[in-house]
Amino acid sequence: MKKSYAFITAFCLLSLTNEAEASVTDTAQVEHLSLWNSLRVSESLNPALRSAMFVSSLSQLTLSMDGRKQSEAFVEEDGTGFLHTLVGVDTYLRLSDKTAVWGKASYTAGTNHDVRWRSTADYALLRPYILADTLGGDTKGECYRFAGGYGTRLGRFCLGGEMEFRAEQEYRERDPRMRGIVTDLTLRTGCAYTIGIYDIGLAVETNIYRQTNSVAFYNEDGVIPEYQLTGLGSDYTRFSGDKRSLYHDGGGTAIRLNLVPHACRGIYADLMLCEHHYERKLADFNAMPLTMLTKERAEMSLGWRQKKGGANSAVFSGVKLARHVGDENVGGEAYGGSYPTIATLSMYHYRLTDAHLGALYGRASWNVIAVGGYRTESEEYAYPLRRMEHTDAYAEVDAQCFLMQRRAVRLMLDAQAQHSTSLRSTVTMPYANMKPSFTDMIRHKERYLKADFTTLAIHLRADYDMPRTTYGLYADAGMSYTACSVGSHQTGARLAIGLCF
Amino acid sequence: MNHKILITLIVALASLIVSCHKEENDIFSTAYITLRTPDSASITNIQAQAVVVNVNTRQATTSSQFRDSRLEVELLRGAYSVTIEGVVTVSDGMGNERIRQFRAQSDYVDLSHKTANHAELNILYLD
Amino acid sequence: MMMLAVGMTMVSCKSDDDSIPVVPVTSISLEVPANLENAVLSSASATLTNVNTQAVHTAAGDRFVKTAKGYSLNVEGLEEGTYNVEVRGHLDFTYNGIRGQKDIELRSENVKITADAPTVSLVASTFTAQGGFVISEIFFTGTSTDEGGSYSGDQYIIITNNSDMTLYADSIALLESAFLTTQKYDYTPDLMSEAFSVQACYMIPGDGKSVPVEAGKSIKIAVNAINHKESYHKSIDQSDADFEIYDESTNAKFTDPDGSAPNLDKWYCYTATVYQFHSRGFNSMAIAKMRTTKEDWLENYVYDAKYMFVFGDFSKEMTKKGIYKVPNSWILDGVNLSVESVREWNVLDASIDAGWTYCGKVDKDETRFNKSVIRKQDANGKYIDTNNSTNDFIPEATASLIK
Repeated sequence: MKKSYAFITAFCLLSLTNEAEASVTDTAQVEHLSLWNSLRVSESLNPALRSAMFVSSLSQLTLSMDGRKQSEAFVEEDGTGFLHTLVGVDTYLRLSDKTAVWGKASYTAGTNHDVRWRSTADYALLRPYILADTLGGDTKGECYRFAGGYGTRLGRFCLGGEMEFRAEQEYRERDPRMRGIVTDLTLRTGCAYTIGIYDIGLAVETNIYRQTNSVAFYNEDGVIPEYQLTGLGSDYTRFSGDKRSLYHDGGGTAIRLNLVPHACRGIYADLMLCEHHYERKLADFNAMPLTMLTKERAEMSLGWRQKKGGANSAVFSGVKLARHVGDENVGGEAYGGSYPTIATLSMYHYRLTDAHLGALYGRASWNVIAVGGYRTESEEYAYPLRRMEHTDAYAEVDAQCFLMQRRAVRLMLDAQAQHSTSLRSTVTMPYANMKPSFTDMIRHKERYLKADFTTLAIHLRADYDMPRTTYGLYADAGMSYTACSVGSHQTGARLAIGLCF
Repeated sequence: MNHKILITLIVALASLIVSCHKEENDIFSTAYITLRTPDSASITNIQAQAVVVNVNTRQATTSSQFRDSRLEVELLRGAYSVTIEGVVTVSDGMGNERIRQFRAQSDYVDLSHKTANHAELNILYLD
Repeated sequence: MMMLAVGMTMVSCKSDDDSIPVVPVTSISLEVPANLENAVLSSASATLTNVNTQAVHTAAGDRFVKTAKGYSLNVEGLEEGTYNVEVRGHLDFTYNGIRGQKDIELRSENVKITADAPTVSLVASTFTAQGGFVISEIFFTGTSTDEGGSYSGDQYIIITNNSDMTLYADSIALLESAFLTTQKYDYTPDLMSEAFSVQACYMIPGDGKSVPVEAGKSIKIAVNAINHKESYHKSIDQSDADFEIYDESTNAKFTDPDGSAPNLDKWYCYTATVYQFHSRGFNSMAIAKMRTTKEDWLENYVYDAKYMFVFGDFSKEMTKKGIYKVPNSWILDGVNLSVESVREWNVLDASIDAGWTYCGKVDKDETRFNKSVIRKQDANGKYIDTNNSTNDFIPEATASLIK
């Protein structure tokens, strides 16, 4: 059993804290950007509760650039890095003490470098049921996002609704020319009821998802096989090769329950249950359904938090459970170019259990949060048996500091340290019967499954209030470095400028 | 009463979410492949190797466990191509036995049912 | 805290003890067909490969022990697991009073070997098609060019006399299937068990003794018997071909060069211009000894086949007219060709070819050029012919005439 080590960084410039403490809560940036909000992620997904989250309004127009580079891809499907540019606006408007509206719109464009074993967009969502080849290459992407919500209080009740829409395209401009076009719509409705010092919230969410996916070869006489992956290096051999047009149709439902202390002091609890399913269909053969991925997730958290006398404190615990089941439709006898489904078999199983404990402490101008957790993940393909299991322990410390809040230029400094260590991992594969390229792919995954990761990150934001206006300018810069025990590393950087109003 | 309705609604919604998907974990079944002679001769003994290839996954299973004229093999449910080659001892009903080389083949056999899957193949004599 | 405890209990706590049980003795039995006498196995070896660990266990031939049904081999100390088992050897035997021999190669994949089931059974097959003319090589993919393209004018087929005496190739016809192995329909009538449906038939002309082929020798039939290297330096010089497929095209834009080799006698071809083999190998090929005249065959060996075309809810009965057929009893040898990613069926009866072979794993595979399917040879140089091209042919082999 390996020991886990927690790294604690000490960044806050304590000499400045006396001045910073005076009226830090006056600024909208502090309220909206505080680390304290990391305790409120689940309630922010209930539109009714979100409408009561912030006292102040804040709108930001942003132009940012994000980049990441890995010396060797940690996850081959994600590539060795990316460079993305974003222009967007994000607003939260308090219309009255009872009503708030919020919205977001953004356009992101960029390049993902050296993506391999993936010819389908949204890998994290659809894995393992994607199209893939052995060659890969850089991909380009564009994404439009729109979101808007409204919430209001009616006596003891809060009601709210929210919509999020994403349209995305990922493509490659040389053979194999993959293209994935995604539309993703989520609708949320929520309500909350005040009993004593608590709000009890209930939100229901529904999602509709579609991706049109294809791979083209401009050199018609020179193609390579595209594999319909089915998990852990297996593929649906009969329809692998040259079936290169697919649809992914899906969606799902989620329900959230929240217990929130109305007056910033008390117990808080969240429960989220959701189920999503994604069907992969061939565009040929009468839209033959190949596979169905069903994802079930439960997340629970329980904690206690308070803001009192200028001090913030919280303790919390959480559990995440996930179960994915992949069903394969067995194709029958080919008849006139069409294949009936003669059986459906659940061949792929995935399980995740993640439990963590944490605590937050801070004052008005600074917060420190520490989390320690234990995660176990297993994937299995039924026959021929393939299995990958691993267990990690992880720890994270995040420190945030607001500086010079009474001045025209205000600073926010954020520093993070994370470490995860692999406690146990096992891999069972029919290597003797696998193609060499698939064996290499699995061996790569195995190396990173057994690896330890250490990340250090720092982020600095400066806000400047333009005199005699209600506008402000801001600039934001961040860097991160991750070291992996296999010998590879990752560096990340972010630059942003924007307008606040 | 309102609390009861609220709790019932929450439980119903939660149940709806988590119980929608039915797994199909009965993925194996037994296949019985029977060989038939093209003439009226009856089969006394079969000594042959059967190669059963899953049409969808291309996994091959090999078996020589014939009992009478039937092969019994445990397989992943699905569609298969079957090739059987060997020798068969046939009797003409008057006590005359003959050993003949044979082949039996089919490009497609449906062996996808949960319970016993049955298929019949015609013998082709090679000699 | 309680929730965390609940979560932690869901974490599977597995024992760190990963030791795998060992099977004391694994028995591999090799059955020899009951119709053989005096069977003697020599130069035998057995290889067991653990599918998960890739550990290989090899047992040499002297450990094979003769049993009532054949031979048996015991392997000690194998770990429980899933194995690929391969047995090779040479079998000498007597069949119907005649001495025979065969190199055997048996393979069984994904065999579970456990202490409760420690046996593996394999049955040897000694079937060999009667010696005669066989298709020994088909080159249909064409050659690649310097510009990154392809050239398919240099296709050829090689037919070999696999017997021990001189045979005559007169009246041997080269046949191409009327149906694609990549498109399956339930045709009515279904004649496959009686005849091969063809869309091209080109016959070696002669009076019966005009084309002698000595034992072990071959004749090469080129689609175009010219020196292709003059135009494409990576191609083949076919000017020395024994025969050529020549068509009088009805379209002046597509003409057939008439090379130096004698032309085959064209009985029928579907195309009004110039014939070539399917360059991706979607048609099966065969050779047959034609036992009637051209006129009789064209008149009496033709039929129409019906099939249902289905697309979603739409279905319509279609008729494929004017399909020529060659009785299976005339066929000397046949080879099913296809591509794995699009293959649907065999179009030759299983008695002629129970398997199939290929160049290219996927349709329009960029690696298929300059390759052909070549029949395997045994230690004595004889071509292996069990009427199963999956076993008999080397797929994606470098074409033998490419230098």
